[in-house]
Amino acid sequence: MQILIAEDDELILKTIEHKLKKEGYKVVLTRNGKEAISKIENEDIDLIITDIMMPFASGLEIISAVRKSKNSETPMIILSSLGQEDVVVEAFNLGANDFMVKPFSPIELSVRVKKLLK
Amino acid sequence: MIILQIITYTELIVGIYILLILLFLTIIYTLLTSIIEYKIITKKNKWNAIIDKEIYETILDDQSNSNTDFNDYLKSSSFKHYFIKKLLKAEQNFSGNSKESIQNLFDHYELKKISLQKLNSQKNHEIAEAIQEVTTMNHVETLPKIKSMLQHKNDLVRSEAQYGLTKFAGFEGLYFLDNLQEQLTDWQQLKLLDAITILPNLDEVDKIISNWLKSPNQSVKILTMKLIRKFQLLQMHDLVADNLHDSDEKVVEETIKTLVRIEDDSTSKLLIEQYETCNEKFQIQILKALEKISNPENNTFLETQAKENPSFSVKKASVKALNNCCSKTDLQKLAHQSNSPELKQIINQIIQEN
Repeated sequence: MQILIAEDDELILKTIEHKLKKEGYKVVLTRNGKEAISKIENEDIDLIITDIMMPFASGLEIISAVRKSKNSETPMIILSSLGQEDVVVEAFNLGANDFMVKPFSPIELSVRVKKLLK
Repeated sequence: MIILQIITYTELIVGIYILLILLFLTIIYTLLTSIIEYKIITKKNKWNAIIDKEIYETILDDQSNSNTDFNDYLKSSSFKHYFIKKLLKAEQNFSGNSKESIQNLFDHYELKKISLQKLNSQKNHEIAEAIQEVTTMNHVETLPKIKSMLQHKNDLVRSEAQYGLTKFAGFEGLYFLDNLQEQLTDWQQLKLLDAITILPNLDEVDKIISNWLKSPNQSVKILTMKLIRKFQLLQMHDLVADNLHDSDEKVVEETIKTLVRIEDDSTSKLLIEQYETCNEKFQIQILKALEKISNPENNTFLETQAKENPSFSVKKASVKALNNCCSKTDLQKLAHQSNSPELKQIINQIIQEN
């Protein structure tokens, strides 16, 4: 199973990467929205974890791009910050499957990943 | 030719030399600053990678052996300061056990010593930083020191002390609001509210909150109303309503918002009574409040506003409120009865939007 993580905070990115690798997943890392969209188009991705606020293309743009692409069924978890409730609603309307609010627990995230990939 | 007549050949050569030397010095200076900048960036990148690794390995309980390299880096004071900054940022992004792991890392490397040194510094920005550090890392034993900073002359230090106290002591920590002279910024209010997670089950709480609602400090009144909204303190309704007549527009705005959240049978009546004395901005806010309250008893008032008020915005807000309390047929009936093309247009638009 290959998971794509789109996150511009290096520490969060690395923490999620190592947590998921420990759980046995393969991980693709991207640090901006544009790079994420390009990787989603060119690689086999089973699940996407994306931050909402990112340079070049936001998490919402990634969701739209995925839902319009050949991988439109790929499950997506979004990471948002406190106070972004409106954006979370928009993300669900666009087709996100789950969300987590920062501050978040990497353990909880890995449980949600497992559940979506079942 | 004219220039050559003014300066001699030797002077010309000297001038060229000076220009060349200046050019050379400029190139050397640019080169040196670029090298220094490059070194700083490389060093920061290296530090970032090392610190990130230390943090995520701790969070994921992944440290196989003691990190001797990391201990070597910790001999540098600037590295320690940078490490603390990174820990503070990391603490904001993680919850649960991960948050605790970050706090443990702060203790494990004895970074508290640095924070305590800064807490006793003469520099205001260092004191503010130190309060933020000990608060974030949950060092409650520093509370007496933090309390002593509540009257500090520097805004930043005072704000951090207020937040630290509230974070550690909860609602009881807000006692500084009783006599607060300075205005709390919106951001500071947000932070303080966030720090209050529960209200103590005491009779005194209502009395304390009532006093804050009468505070001469506008920002204290506003923070109190936000607190009332957060904890749905319905018993405060009438005391909040007293602020509808406040001379400060922001207080009135917050009062209307709060009344809607803790509404009772008298709320609509109070708002409608207030309506006539308000300017258009507040009239629209009251209409939006009535939309949320959605009480059919307000329909006559709303219909009058929709039909008789000359303002397009007021008409629209009235129809929107009516739309929440009456049926589509009632709205169509209102459109049919009205001679105003403007009102008909608003009603049709709102019906279509639904």
